[in-house]
Amino acid sequence: MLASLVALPIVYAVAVGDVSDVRTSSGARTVVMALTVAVLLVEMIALAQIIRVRAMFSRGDTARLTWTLIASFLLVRVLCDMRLIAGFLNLFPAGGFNFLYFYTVSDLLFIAALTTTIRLYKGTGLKFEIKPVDYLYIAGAWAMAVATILAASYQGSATNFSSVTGYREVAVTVGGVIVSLGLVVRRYVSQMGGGAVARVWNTVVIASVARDASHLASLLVPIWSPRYGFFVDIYLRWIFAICWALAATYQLEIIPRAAVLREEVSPA
Amino acid sequence: MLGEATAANLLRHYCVKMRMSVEDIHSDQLPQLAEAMRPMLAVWLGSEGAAQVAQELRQLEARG
Repeated sequence: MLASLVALPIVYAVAVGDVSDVRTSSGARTVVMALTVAVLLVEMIALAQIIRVRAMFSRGDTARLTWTLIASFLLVRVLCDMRLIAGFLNLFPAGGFNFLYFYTVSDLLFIAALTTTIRLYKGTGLKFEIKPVDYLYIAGAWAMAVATILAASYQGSATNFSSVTGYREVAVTVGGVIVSLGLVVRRYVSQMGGGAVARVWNTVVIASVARDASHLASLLVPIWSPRYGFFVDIYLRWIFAICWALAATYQLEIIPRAAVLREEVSPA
Repeated sequence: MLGEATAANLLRHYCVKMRMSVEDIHSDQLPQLAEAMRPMLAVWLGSEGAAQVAQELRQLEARG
């Protein structure tokens, strides 16, 4: 999966060749379409993993709510991606971009998951603190949101919330909240000295930043590089998808060891 | 299960909360430590996983 981060831009560059308008390039469209489907498949794998993680927690465990919300977040995203692909393939009647706001619904579910996680950590009675440098990172996330809104204004689509650009303004703002909360959780787990738990949430933060950055990149990169503007959004969403698959795998690696311990202590 | 670094810091955080030194923990205190840490461990392992870790710690004490 990690090798794909290097391979994909190379494959895209070869597929695009020397065409002047990359949107008319069948090679470019094929690569982007294939990657869009791959993102969906990886998100489905991540969703299946997260459902397994959720099942490891008992009904009375507070963390079960967190993983239920994360599973719901990914489920709504998967459904949205299916709708998006169906639109690309003309399997759905053209009807504007308002359905994109279902991605916002999924983001709100993830915000709820992050909020419950923070409350969970605080509820342990351990002392978790945010460091001053974290506020710098959070400011960076909000700078990305501001830059996206300014870029949308520059393109003259700032107030049209039925357009893709309008949606991106909303998405990057909600994404700023997600990255901010994710950085708080990341700080909490880093105080655990790294290790298995930190690996999960560090990966989640990378996923959140990648997705938030995709909104800004989709507006700015086409200005600087029309050739790669068509590709960068889906590439960052690919990073988002594989990070979630990795985070789910890391979380599963923590919990099954409890099941192994149970077998060693009291085999059936 | 949690990773050595996470487990070590979990223990350190617990000791700060209980206002005791890590060096002051003796093997006969392991059962109490296990029970006290179960809510924290449940955050990452669930109640079943935390109960099993607590059981392991009690068995460590029993083995001496």
